[in-house]
Amino acid sequence: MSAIEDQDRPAVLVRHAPSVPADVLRQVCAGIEEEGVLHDVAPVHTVDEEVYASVLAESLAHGAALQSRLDTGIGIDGDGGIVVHHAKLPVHHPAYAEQRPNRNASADPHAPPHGRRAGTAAARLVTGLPLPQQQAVRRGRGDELTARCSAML
Amino acid sequence: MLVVGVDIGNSTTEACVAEVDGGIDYLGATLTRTTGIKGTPDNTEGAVTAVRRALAQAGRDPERLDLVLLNEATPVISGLAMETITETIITESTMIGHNPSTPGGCGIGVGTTAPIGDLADGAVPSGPVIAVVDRGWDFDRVAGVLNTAVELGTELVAAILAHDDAVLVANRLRVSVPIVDEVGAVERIPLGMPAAIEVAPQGRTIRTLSDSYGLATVFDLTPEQTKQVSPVARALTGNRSAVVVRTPSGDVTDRKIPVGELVLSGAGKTLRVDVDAGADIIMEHLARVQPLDDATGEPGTHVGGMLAQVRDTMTDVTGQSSAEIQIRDVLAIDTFVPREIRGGLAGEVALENAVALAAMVRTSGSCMQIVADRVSKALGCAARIGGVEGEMAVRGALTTPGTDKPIAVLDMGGGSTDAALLTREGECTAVHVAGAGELVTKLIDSELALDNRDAAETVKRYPLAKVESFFHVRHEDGTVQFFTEPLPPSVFARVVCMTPDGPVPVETRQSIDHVRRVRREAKRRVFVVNALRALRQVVPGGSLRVLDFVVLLGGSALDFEIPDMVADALAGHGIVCGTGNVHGTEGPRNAVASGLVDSYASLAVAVAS
Repeated sequence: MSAIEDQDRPAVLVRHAPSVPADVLRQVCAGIEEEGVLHDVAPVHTVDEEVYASVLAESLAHGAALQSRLDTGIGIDGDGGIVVHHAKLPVHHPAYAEQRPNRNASADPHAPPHGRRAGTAAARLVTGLPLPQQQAVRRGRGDELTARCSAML
Repeated sequence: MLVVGVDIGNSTTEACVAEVDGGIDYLGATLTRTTGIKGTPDNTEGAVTAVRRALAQAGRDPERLDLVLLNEATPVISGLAMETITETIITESTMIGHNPSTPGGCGIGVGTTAPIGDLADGAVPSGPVIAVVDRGWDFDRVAGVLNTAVELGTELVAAILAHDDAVLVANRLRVSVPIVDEVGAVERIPLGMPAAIEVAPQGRTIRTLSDSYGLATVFDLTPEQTKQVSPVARALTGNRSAVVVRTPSGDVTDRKIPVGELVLSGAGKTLRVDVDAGADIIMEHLARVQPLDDATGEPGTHVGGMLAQVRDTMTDVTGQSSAEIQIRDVLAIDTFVPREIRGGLAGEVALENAVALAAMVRTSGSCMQIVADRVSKALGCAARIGGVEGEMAVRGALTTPGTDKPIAVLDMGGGSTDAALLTREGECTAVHVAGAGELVTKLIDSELALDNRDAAETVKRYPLAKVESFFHVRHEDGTVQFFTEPLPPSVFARVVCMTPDGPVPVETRQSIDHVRRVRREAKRRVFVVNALRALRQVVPGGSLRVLDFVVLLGGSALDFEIPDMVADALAGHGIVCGTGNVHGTEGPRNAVASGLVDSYASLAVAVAS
């Protein structure tokens, strides 16, 4: 499950900014593993700090999906915003997005930890099961910024 | 002379414009929503709208309108009630039988329940142990504690988790044990009690805990105790994983609620029938008291409550006292209702048997004359009642290409199914039976546990499909359809209804085959049963063989499968059956409105000659 040693392994590729909290990464991987699917995690270093975080996650996810033998990738930005992508989907229409938890909002004690749902969603794209309920989506996106992100990958 | 026929139905008001001068020249037809309850003065507004719209479409000046013909709406109103007749209750928490999407490990483990907190303290309980893991425990920590406990000598045989972590924990354990997860009420599991956990291999269902003797073997039960736990076994059948905890006082009761007797009177007889006996027996008894004068239920029982409910609704609608309201037809249907098991720990459901009753009430008369007077005032032309609904429907149906007398029509609406027969000699008989589109919707709603009438209506009206990728769906008939725009992720891998606005997911975990079966069975039990029942009542001698042509009319005749189902059922009797096509252009709509114009024209000709 460590770095990109076996490029050919059928796995969900997880690509993240180097500063992603370790626990978010761990929960994303747990979500994939619980559904019985393999994953492959690696940080992406060429990050332009000015880029909007959510756009970054989207492009990372799309790039990962294009590389994955399972056509499925996850991108995580430095703040823990997560996007799940499928290679056949347009870059601006990801399959699933999990926002960074709002610290002010009172957390639902029964909700799974942040990152788990996104991992589950990615694995289910592979296994063909309905995706978990999507949270309310708030996205900021700009085509110019996305273009810069894509160019980096 | 310019004439408009207007048919006020339960949900739609239809109009047909024609120029009548010796012959009839049909100029067009239109429909609008019925205003108010059918047969009440509130209908005027919808009728006027329909007339104006029809004239505008035909390009005729409303000033030139000579006559509006209204139908004598049959004062028939239907009501529905449904009641479960069994209920599964677990008096002490004794079982968990649900299907978490991903249980861990496989096999069966029998031991004593113990909280994971005890094992974390380093204690080594004697005998086999089933670890119970509460909320708030991380999967790595659970695996660590359990591994340490096993090293210290604990005989771990299984685990029950609150979170969706079973595969994660199983992958990290050094021993292979069955693990059940997503148990919502984990805190209610009795601790220190003998329990058994079974997880079946992928693609299989459990074998031991879903078998009465399997349970008897596991828990060393006496024959008497085995009898008591057999409902548990039955409730667990078909699951991939299950937990049974044996508590001393725990037992599951399969209680039958007294449903009561239905009292049917008619044809000089009074018959009493136990609703428990099921729909077939009820309908058999009903056939013996035709024509029905009234139906009542034993007070204080479920059936009494159901019929009282129908009467109350009727009282509200018609303003008559409940003593005056007589139930003139009943359709009983056996159904099942998924209900959450009382005492279950993970929201388990059991399929409870239920009976649905549709009842039809004849009211003491309609207010059509008032509607006619008001229409006349609003439009400044003559308006009168042109004929009785059933007869007019047959006349309209006769304009369908390829039909001839004797002809029968089946008008399949929302509240009731109506049949009318026109003999070669021109005699017309009509009947109304309870149960139609609304009942189908209700059956679909309860059997799929949708708890949403609109969602059930969507399932009823549109074919199903399974979304197989972002770019294609597989329809229920097995064909695939490709999309150039990606489908939304919210429908990915779901069972959907293919509506004109795109795929709409059905909120169920059931397979597409199951949803399809429920939908088709609901339609069959209402429309096929009612088609045969209604036709037998209009045909002399009750033999369907004497019929040649049957024409299907009404909103449900536009359904994508009901006409085929009815035609299939009638084909065996040598009957030509198909969907009406009034004037060869209007489809199964507008039959009554056209019939009104047609009937007026033939009278005018008769008078002239």
